[in-house]
Amino acid sequence: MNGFELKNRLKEARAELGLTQTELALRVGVSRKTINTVENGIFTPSTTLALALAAVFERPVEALFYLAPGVV
Amino acid sequence: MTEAELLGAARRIDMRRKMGMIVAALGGVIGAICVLQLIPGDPGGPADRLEISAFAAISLTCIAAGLALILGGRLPAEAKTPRLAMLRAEAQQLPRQTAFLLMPLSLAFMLVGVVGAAVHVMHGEPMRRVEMFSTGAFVFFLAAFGFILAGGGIIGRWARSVLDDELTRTLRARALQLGYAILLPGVAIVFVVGLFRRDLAVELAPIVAALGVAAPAVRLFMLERAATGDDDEA
Repeated sequence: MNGFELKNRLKEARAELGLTQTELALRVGVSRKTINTVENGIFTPSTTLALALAAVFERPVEALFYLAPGVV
Repeated sequence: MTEAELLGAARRIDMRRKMGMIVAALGGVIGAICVLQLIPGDPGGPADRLEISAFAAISLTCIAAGLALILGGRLPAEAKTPRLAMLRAEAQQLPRQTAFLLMPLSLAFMLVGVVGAAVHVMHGEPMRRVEMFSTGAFVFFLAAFGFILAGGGIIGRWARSVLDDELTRTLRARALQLGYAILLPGVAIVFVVGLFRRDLAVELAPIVAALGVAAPAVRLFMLERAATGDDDEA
């Protein structure tokens, strides 16, 4: 989307639960690389994956992912 | 044992099994060549019996050594946790994907030998042993490729479902885009060149095919490597 960048609080949420990237990956059924790239903003997850991550952390998707003004 | 030690031990066993498979496969290839020497009718003449026996012995030794390497290593029970299985599978993913992308290239090169054999047979000439071998190798590779495409292979179903996730599919699609970007204009150029210089087009075609397969394989390798970071502990 023009002018916006997808950011996330995945790393903080993961640290709160004391999970490693691998453990989180196993819980949502994806590879650790996927978690790593989502956390670093390299890869934009699908709605399904975003909802699955939100379900693991028991919080709404908006609490994990948000739009921030980015490079236009 | 610590997790790092377990992972190290598991990787050593994986490497040992891989080496075993390579040595056993080499033995199989040498054995197949020996068997082909026993088939009469090659215009090149019969092979030396002593030579065949020596190579047969080498083949059997390779197969035995390969099997010993494959069956010899036992994975510690503690290393069979889902977390370690994931880390091991991830380590194997990149070379596996690259090899998978390069398989069609091998098949394309093997096809040249198969076409040569088919031309000989069509002209009523006897098939040479080397042609039997190249045709057999082509069929074997094609079957292996089909088996992998159909969902089989040495990697477990669990690891496959986890590793073949949306990131992997996205990276693969990006890599394949590069392949199309090379192949489509490449084939068009070969076609146009072929209208004027058939010999040059024949020489260009394998180069375009090789680039069209090798470039996405390298691209995938780079994308996967960029996506791989250390497992960030909580």
